[in-house]
Amino acid sequence: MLNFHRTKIFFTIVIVFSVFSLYVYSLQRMNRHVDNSRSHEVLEASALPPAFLKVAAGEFKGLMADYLLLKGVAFLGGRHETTERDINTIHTLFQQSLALDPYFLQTCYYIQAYLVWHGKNYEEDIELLKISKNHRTWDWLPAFFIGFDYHYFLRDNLKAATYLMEASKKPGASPFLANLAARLSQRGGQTEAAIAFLKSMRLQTKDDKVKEQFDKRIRALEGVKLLEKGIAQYKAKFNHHPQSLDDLVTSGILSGLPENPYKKPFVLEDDGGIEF
Amino acid sequence: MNIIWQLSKITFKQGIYSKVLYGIVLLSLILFVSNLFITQLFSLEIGKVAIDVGFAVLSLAGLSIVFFMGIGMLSRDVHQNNIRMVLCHPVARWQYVAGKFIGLSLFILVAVAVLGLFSAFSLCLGTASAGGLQALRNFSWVMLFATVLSHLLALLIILAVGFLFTVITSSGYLAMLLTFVVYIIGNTLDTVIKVLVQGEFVQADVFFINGLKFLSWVFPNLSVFDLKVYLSYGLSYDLINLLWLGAYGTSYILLLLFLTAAILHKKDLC
Repeated sequence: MLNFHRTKIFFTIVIVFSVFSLYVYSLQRMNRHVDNSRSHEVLEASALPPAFLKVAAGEFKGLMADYLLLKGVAFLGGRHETTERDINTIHTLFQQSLALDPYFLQTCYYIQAYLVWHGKNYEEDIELLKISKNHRTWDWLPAFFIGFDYHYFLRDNLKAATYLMEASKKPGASPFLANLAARLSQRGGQTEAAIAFLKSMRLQTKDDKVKEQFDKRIRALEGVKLLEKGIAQYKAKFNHHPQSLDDLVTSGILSGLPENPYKKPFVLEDDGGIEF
Repeated sequence: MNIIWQLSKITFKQGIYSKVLYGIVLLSLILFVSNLFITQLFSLEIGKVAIDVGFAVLSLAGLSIVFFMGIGMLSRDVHQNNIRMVLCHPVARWQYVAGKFIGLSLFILVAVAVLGLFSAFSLCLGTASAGGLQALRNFSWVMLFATVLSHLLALLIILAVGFLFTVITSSGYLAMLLTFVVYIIGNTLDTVIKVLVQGEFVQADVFFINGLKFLSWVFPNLSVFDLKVYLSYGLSYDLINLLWLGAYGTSYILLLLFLTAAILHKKDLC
């Protein structure tokens, strides 16, 4: 009887051990298989329109948005290279995530940090960022991202200035943003608008150091404005652009060149713009 | 009034004895642990993620209680004729409806309070690595409380709908199914109407849109009880709005209970 009992215990232990070994081995094999297949894994996103997802997610919109974002980001984290198809899928995932939760900063951040830099569909990505900007009315970052993209990728200084001006008015935005916006506005041919913007920003600020920075930039822009007027007069008089800013003085249009508060001379660039 | 209170107490005790609360505490613990891990997957506004997870669990647990315990209990009473045991005493049918509803509501209140506490606790811990609750934009405990309360009100509406369907139908499954359909409609109808009115993705007939608008007066608009987004992003929500929300929810529940009592009054239970 005792012998039979011992045999029973022995076989039970052997069976449990065998099943456990099988479990460990099969799990390791499966993990290896997943690792191997990950290199040629294809990211999938449902083709459902964002409006439908909004309806389908019901009260779990926020959670669904987190999941879609995480799906895209987790894919990016495990890849060295991404194809155009991957980029389009990630764009869809981020678009769906934004439709479900247009306030989430993380989505906006990844659009800027990944999609814009790697996808190169700037106009489409900016449209996504605009959704974020329109909802996060208190946040300067989305407008800053849009302004940056217009300036850096699309070379549209006027639009860049518009968004940077918008960003600089939001709480927490650096005063440098306003200065940068004014510079881009001037580069886009809107010097007066840049001066007016900086003056309004100066009125709102209480920090003396920031006021000083604004004053300096306003003086520089007023110098640019004077030079621009001089160039226009020169062109009207001689029917061609001046070769340098000194031509404005030698031709008698200006009595002297304005002083640049940044302690360097104003420079007339090839495209007719003035660098300061 | 005493009869209603007695019935409520019995129903509440039935709920406690059903050991569903143990399940809720277990679920809350899972939520508490999972929130700690899930929030680590994000780097910005992790408080928002913690709120999403916390309130999703709260909703799921609350819905489970309403569907499986609430409607299940009412179905056993009405469909298996246990109700006769109560009605053979000097208890009016409307008192039965009121007593049962208050008892179940008290139970759901306790369950939501437990879940809400765990949710708040997990929110505190989940956001601890990112500056705590104060890192959440305009965070206020009042808003957190209002969000939990609005979830409770939505659950009570679903319970009232479930009660009505239990009395109308002849099977518990049918009552659950119809209540689930109302839950889905209640959460989506408002968005559907907005999407159709905008006409950005789908062009719908005016007659169809007006039909949906009419339905929005019949079905509860459960999406208005979802205040998570206001809590997550510190968006302003008027106290007046909150009071109107409470008034809307309460009046809808009362109307459903009147209807349930009227139908039960006419129902042949023999």
